[in-house]
Amino acid sequence: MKLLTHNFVSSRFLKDVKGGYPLKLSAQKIETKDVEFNEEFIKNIIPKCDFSALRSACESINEAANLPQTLPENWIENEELLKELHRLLFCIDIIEGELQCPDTARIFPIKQGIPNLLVEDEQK
Amino acid sequence: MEVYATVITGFEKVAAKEISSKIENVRNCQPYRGNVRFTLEKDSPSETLKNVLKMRSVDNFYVVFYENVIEGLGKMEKEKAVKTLQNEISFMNWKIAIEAWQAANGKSIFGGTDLIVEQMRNFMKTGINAEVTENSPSFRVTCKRAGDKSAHQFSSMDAAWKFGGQINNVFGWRTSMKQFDIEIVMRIERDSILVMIALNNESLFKRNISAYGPTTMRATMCYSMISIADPKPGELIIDPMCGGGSIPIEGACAFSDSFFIGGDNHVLALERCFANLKSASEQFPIPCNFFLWNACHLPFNDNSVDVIVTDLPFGKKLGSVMDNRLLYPKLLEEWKRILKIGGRLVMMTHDKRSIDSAILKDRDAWQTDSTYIVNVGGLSCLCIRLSKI
Repeated sequence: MKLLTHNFVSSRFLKDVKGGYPLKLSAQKIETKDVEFNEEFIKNIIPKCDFSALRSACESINEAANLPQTLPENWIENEELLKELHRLLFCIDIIEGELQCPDTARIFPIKQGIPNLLVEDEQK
Repeated sequence: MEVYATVITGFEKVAAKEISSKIENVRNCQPYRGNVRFTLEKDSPSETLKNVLKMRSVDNFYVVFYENVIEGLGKMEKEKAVKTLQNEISFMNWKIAIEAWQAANGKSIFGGTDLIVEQMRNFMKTGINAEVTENSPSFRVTCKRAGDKSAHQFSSMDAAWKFGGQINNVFGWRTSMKQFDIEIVMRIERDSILVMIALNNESLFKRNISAYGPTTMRATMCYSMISIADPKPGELIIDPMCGGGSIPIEGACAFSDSFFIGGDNHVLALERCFANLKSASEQFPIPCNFFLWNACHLPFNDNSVDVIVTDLPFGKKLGSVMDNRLLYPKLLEEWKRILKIGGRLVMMTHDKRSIDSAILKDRDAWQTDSTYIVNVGGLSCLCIRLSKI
């Protein structure tokens, strides 16, 4: 699972959960793959991302060292930052780990890079 | 150069749009039933043909090198009709056929076009058959008759067999039904005849997929459905019932400016996603992700997804029509929740009645943008694009 995907995922679908965002991330196994840098794509996707959720996800896997606290106003011209965002959002893959609902503390496992968000009927 | 592209019946206009927007030097690009025809400018560079083969909505490409109407072909007795077809061989533009084949395959046929022209001239002058040598390419002829089959006194097999024999006589090519270098296709509809040479060896829709499941969709079908959704840069595109992942994988390859996520509720489907993504990523990693999830309970916030593209269970191989009546309204309700206002939903199903009634139940939420009647493995299916309003 990529951090870009994590940025979109929420446990809002659970019964009685109104927020459910962002899911807490923990990882046991991480891989980095070299995905081609597509500058236009990064520029288009950043405005759709929740920066503070990205920042906290990066912190939880110790990858936030080169990421500012908040997204600077001139981010679109900062090529170094764009490349770092590309690396964080696209290249990092969570292979084994967990997602946790912030409201109910329910845990969803990640195995072979695939998060399991299935729940039994009574908890939906 | 006249090009004939076989495409998915129902998505001809989608294919014609892709061809005319992606290839330079294209003229007269016209959709017909199950195919699209267009002309490449005379002096277009040989790379153009290579680009043609990169089209994602086309199953097979052919170059037309003979097109004619033979008055009364249908009324002729079998022997005479087949003989007439054989005799047309000298009126066909074999030079163009061989040039196109060579450009598309990036290699030359033994002797090139010079030998073809010389062999034809010899045969016309002397009537003596060309010799088959070990350098001779192998070939097969396929004959397809569209429309009313009883319009002719001969069968498709008769025509292919005899015409193939004549090619063997004139050029000395070796016949081979399975392993062949060159494929010649004849299309006969009433009195009109089209003869073409295939540009691709394996059908183009087989890309991406290594692990086939019970309801795997062709890559060309996936491409067409995604392009109907008209993805914009930076958009998030979901397939909630992705099976082996054909739609997200094709999407991530073809629309690299959008982000694709797929999911399914079955572990076996996810295993196929994993295998297909791995084999599709051999040259360079493809950025898309998969989930185990329930399509009626998706892990997204309200109003957060730009596009949903999906192949619904038809109720044929998977599920039943009874299930669909209950399932489809639940799916639409959940998808309405996660889609943004103005977000698009493109769905394919064989169960038109269930989808129509599901949309009617919530008619104020959806606007129908377009519908297509599509042939999916012989089933007449509905592909519909809705927008959330």
